[in-house]
Amino acid sequence: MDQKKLIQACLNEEEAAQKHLYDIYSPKMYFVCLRYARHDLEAQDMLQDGFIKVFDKLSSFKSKGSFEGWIRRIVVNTSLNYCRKSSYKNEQIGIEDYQDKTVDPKAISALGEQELLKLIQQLPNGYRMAFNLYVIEGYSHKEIGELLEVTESTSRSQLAKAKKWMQIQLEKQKIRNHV
Amino acid sequence: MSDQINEFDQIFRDRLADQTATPPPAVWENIKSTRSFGHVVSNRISSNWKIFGTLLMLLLTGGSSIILMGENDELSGRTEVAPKEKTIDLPLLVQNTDKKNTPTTTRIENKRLKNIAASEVPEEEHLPDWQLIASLQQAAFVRPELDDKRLSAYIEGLEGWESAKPKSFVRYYEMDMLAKKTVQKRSMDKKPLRAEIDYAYVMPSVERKSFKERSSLVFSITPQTISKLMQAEYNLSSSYLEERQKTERTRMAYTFGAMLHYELKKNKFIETGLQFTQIYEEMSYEGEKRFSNQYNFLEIPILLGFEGRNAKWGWEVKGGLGLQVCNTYKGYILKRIDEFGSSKPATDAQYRLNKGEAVKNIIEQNHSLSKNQARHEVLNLENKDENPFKTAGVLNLHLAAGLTYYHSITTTFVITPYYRRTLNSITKEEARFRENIRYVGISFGTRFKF
Repeated sequence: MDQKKLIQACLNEEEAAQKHLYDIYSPKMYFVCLRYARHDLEAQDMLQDGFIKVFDKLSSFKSKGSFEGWIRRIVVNTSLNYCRKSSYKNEQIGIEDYQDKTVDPKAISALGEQELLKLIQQLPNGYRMAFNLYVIEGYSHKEIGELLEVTESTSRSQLAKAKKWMQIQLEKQKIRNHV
Repeated sequence: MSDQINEFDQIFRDRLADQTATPPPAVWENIKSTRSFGHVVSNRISSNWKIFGTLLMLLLTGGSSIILMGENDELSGRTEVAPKEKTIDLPLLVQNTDKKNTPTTTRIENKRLKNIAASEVPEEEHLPDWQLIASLQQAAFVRPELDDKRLSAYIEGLEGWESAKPKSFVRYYEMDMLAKKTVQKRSMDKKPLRAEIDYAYVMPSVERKSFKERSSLVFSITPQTISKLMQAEYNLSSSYLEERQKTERTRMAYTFGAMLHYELKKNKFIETGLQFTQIYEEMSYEGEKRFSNQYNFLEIPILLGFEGRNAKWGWEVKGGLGLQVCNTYKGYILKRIDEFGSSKPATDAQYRLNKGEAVKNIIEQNHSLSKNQARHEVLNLENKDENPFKTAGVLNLHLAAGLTYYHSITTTFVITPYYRRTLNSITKEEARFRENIRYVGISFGTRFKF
């Protein structure tokens, strides 16, 4: 089915069309959610809320840009909102004591996709949002600042802390492997 | 180092950007079940709100027109019925007059009665007297123009003629009594009972009430308390709205109304006109100073109501919809500041504006910030780009029920507890939060007849 017809059918609340649209985009969007979530169940909730919003707001899609990009933005925003609601403020991060070292890319490239995903999922919420938006979605710090309503420097600092946190985790893992 | 960081980023981007994972089937089942019928309908309404809004307005306008037109038909029907009743009633008079040959019957009356007698009216259609009286009583809701000067003078002397309702039910009883008195007086002259009163004058004179007679102007003032219902959309943290609710406090809200009240049939009425609402609120910010925000809403309501009354006191119930056509705002509200990586603005007021200063601020229209309040953390409501609120197009639901006191023919006082709430959000679509206002107040009004 052609995309315009599919959208129109979804706007007419045809369930088969909505299922078809879901089948096309849900695998990619689910992985997006997995990156923002701490675990699978949270990612499923994000995906569910995201697609409900997609169907509810479909009439506002102007057919100018990429449809996938539009869905992705909604899913990302839903995921961000979900992260904000969770109680990351109480998380004890404790990374200030570690020395500021750079992350070795070789150590990263040795990891598989699932390990990388797990590494991201273990990040505290605030760091995870900044890391995902900057590193994977490709947003600039200015855009992240606007999206999260923080200053540009806050976004930079969150990203740096995220990387530092990853370095700590990788070192811990390295130690465990040696032992 | 910079290259290493880029290389690090690139690894993540290449490996994870276009990865897919199959979600469990339960997710789709949940989406299906969560998107309820109401959800779907509300989605359709919101996506076609212009069409639905127009239809609603047309429906209201059409509905009220039908009611008005229906009333006209009924009234015109009533005047058409009158001659028919006359042809049924009058043979009785003819028989009587022919038999008794009344000397006081005028020449015109004689001619008319003879003409009617000439028409073929079957005997069985003659109505008994009580039916005649009942039909007259039913028809006599408006004071007729009376040819009989004595009767007219008597009615003039009746106290409360204009305010009594139904207007002439009791009066016609008295008129009938008067007529009987006349009959008794004239019975000595051997005059027939029924021929004494020319009931014909009653029926043709039952005219529909004019627009002027049905209309009155209502001026009202409604002091009220308001509560704001704020709801974050999917991409905004609800903590922002919690902060706003802490910082904003309504100090004064009132609505001034100038409406046209139009009486419909069977005690129903319709009211429409203009309502102007002003809300003043204080905002506590940076723990230092409070200043007033001002919201002005101009609204066109259309209300349908029902009223009942006795001679002096009555009651009314009304409800309907109103459309805000012009909204203006002054002052500042908190900017959307997320808790992520940012400190919350201090909202506990160390310095509180006293009542005198608040009133002064309102009179002087002072909405300015203090020197210590950071400009970048608030939104200026007068700035079109920053203001998140709609300048028109907010739909309100109105409900009211109260007491009326009919002070005189032209003046009625109305006191009405009033409930009003916005049906759609007062915020623009891009505001990322919904805000509804609920008003509860008591309306003090006066209705003036033209």
